[in-house]
Amino acid sequence: MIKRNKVKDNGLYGIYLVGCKGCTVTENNLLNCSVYTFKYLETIFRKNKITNNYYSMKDTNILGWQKIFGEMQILAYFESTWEVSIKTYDKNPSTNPI
Amino acid sequence: MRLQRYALFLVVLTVLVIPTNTYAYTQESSGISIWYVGGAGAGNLTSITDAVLQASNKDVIQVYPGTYYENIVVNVSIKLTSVQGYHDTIIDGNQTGIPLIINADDCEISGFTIKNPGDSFEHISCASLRADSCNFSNNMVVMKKVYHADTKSAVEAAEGTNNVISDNIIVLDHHNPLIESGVLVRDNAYNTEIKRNNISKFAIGVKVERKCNDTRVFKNHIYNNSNAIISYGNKCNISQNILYNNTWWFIALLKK
Repeated sequence: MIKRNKVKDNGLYGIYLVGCKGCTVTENNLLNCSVYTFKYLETIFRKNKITNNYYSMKDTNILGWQKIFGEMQILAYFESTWEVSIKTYDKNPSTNPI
Repeated sequence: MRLQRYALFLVVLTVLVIPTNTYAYTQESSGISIWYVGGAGAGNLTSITDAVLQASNKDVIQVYPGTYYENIVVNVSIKLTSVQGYHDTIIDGNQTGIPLIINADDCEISGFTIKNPGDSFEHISCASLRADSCNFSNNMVVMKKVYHADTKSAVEAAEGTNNVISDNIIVLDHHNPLIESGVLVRDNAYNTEIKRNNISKFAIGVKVERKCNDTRVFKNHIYNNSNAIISYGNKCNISQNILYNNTWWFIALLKK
């Protein structure tokens, strides 16, 4: 559970989720930083919930959902990996700081 | 009879006139002894280690301002506090070992500046909680150099359960943060609470290792670190923290 944090001016990402399962990210203020996800193949079906956060850097789709970018590691061979970009959404972003 | 009265008079006079801290310790009616270290009291002990060795469970050790070059190992359940707070009361490891190790349950440590551990151990830290239900609060913990041990942190909770690390200022006073952690939770430490601390300039502000479950990190100010929080433990609750100016990211690596 990552809840009600104020995450501000962090260099790369505000919240970075790696291989999480059943993790809830909610009611956080993300000021000048973003959420980024990275998922391994075995975690493809893990259900993380990212909802109701405030984003100062708005990047929404036509429905007003905040885009959450990330990568998925599809294949690992020898010492290399094949990764593809993925995109998920915070479907209920807060319009005001929490 | 006259002699007895005279003796009684002397005892009463001693209790009333001489300040309590002129003895190494005073005993409360509850049976708890209060030990005094440093200061100008005639009978005060000069080292915290001496007080710890003489203390019994539930005793209180009060430390007067000064710099104590010691590696303190606490094996009894005590309350170890400074008289004037962390600004003036310093536990300095003198670059040898860990300045403060807590091995006994139910200890309370507060009001110290703790700094300068050595670099000859597998785990380096300024303060290491290795017992259950200990409270480490209102201290300033300073790391001043880069160490080469396997794990290094300013404060660590290792092995124990229900420990609380709260209201501390924890800082790396060095230009190169490398891989030190401000607070490290390791070795199956369970139900650790890290709250209301100021943690800055480390490679990782708070690091929770695998199998350290039910850690709660809340209401901390974590800033100017490379990474704010990295958690590998299950059921970690990260809430109401203020995280800013961390160079890389605030990571939550939670595997349920």
